[in-house]
Amino acid sequence: MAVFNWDALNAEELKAALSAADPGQIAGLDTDYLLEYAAEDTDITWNFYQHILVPALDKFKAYADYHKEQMVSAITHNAIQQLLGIWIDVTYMEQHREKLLLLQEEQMAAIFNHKEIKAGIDSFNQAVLDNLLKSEPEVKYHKIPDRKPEPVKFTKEGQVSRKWKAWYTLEEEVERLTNDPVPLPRYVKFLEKVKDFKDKLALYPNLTDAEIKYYNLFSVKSPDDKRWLFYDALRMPVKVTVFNKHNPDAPKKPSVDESAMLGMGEIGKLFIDWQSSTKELQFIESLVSRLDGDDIFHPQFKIPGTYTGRLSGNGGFSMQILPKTAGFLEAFRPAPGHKLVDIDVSALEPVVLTELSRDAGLLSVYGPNASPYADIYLTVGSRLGNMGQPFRDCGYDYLNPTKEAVAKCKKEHKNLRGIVKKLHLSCIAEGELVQVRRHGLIPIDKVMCGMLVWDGQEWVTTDGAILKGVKDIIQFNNIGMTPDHEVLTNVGWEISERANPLQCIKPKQSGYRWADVWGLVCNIFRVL
Amino acid sequence: MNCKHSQDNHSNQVQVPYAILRPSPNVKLRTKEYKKYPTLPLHLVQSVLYKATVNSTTPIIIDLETTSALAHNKKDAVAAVSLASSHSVVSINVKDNHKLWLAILNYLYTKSVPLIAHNTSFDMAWMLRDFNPNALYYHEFKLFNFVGCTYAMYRHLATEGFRGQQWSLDYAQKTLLQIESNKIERNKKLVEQGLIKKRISNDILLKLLGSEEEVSKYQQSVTERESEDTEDEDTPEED
Repeated sequence: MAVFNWDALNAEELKAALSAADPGQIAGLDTDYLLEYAAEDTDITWNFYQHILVPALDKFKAYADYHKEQMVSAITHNAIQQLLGIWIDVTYMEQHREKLLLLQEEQMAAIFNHKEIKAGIDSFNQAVLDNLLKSEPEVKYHKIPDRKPEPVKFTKEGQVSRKWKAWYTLEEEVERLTNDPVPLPRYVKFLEKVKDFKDKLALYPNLTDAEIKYYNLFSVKSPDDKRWLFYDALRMPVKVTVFNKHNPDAPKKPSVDESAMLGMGEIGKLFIDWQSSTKELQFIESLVSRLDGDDIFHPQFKIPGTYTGRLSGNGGFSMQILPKTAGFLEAFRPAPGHKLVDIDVSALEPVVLTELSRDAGLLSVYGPNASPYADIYLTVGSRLGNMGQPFRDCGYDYLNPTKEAVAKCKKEHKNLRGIVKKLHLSCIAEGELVQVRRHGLIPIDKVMCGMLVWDGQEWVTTDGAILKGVKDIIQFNNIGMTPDHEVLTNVGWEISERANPLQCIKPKQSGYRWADVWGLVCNIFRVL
Repeated sequence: MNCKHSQDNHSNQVQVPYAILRPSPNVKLRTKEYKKYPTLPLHLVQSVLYKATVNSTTPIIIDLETTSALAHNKKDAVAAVSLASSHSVVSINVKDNHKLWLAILNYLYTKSVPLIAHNTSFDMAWMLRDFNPNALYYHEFKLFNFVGCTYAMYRHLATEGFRGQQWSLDYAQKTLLQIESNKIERNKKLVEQGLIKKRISNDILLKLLGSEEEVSKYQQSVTERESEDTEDEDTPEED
């Protein structure tokens, strides 16, 4: 066996030579090392359990019991469902894929045939071509080895000065290059590059993703390109911005996700449709590539996988975020003689909320004397003013709800019920003042849809404030907020607990308010 | 083996803001007490496991080394199993010895040994797969007496969410047990045995091995090992 001299490497070289090992690699080690490493891992786990986890479990007996009873059961289910897997009808899936491909082509054509979008994309691609042409090597500075250079001159400082001269115009140069047995390499390369680019541009948008990326052409998959199209070329108003939580200091960018595109009318809809079919196609390809020889898919979950202790997808394919289209879901088939059963807990959040809060209003819906047909979201919705009128029109009476009225409301006003659900679960930090454009400081619960609220950096529209639970608050610049709320200061985004209120950036006023002018006049008189 | 205790190098340890979990800097690994069994006759399995697990004041920690991360992949198998109790650590080679592995599983099942693993979901899936090859429904699986998962506990009891927070055993080792990780040493060993799939550049290999002859020899051995692996994959399974 070769003897390695690891000390010869510096830190960077060592990092380049080593890469993370997966379980398969460890298992390939010689038996001595394999057993040593296995024993060591187990010993570390034992120490971790005994010295770190057990003292914590002793303090939290309720959690210890929950873990032993509930968590282990969930883990067992997870392991078994991974082993058993679920059968996928590949033939059906393939048919659905072909339909989707056709649909995607139509959607793509619709995007590129849209007059405004086409103009924007054409100008983008033309700019790329212009940039390429600008990089054209200038003939007069070319070094042409086979031609006569001017004699070498020596400057006063003793440095060599070479001056290359052009003997040809560009056209002559091209002709010369065509006939010259020894062409000028740099220029030929440039001409080839331009020709290649123009050939590809003629085929656009029927190019592969790799080609589009290579030639820097407009990509409908690139968020930055879409950002340019929507906000620079088509001048769409910026309503939602992206906040990078991993890099709070990074400048905010306008959002190009579905929620932002929803407000862009026809153009946004074209992109949303195309994105949803693209996403579904990606899911299909990913799923099919993970099937075993019997067309069984073995779902994997990380348990727990989130900060809140919920499951998350694992193994490169998440079963929790599947496209909810009939064509895709219908490919999941039960084993012969069996049925697939769909289980969903009814109104989990409000039931838990009722249990914890013992709120009288909630108890009227979920309490012991509540009507079995009461629906919390319809109850809340029907008590709202204009917004609740459709529910009342359907016959929903929150004091005496009927089965028929509930069914009618759910069927005819599904979206409205969804909005009320968001409103209800999103409770409001009542009474807190926020800066609203043209209204000044008003309680957050009075903020209406469409109002412009100061977020610390800019005025943004909002669909309403959302309750994130009950927490202690601190006063920051006379605004009550949680200690971890982020505020913008002149040294960047900071959590309110750590931020200096004096450094906080205040909203820009669009003009003088009468109150300000009156205050100023009074002050002047006081001074005089 | 390669672990050094943090007391030698305390200043280099990562300090992390855990709210519930408290670091324990005085932990020592039982490096000299590891009992390793490269081969273990079947008739000794019971007595070895009995000694390893009986009278333990804690549940038994189990860890498997496997040929891949996918338990549902029938071509892959368990290569080694290790058990740690309050008084000993045992490590058994089960590579190419399915009967021995089944005997171990049988012991753990019949004696209902209380087990814990770091990411129990992973280890349990391998154990259930090999112990219940014909099970088609949940109720047909003969279950082991798992009583917890250190990964799940770690995840639930450390939800701070600070930047760079991890829940791997390696991270717990560094931040909470404050024992230096030997991951680099392990990776070096994997390179030496030609197991790391990422190709190492010739310049680095030359520095490591000193001569071009040695480099070509090493590369040849890696290629041979890879071709052996490919042949194994191509071989049809015997049912």
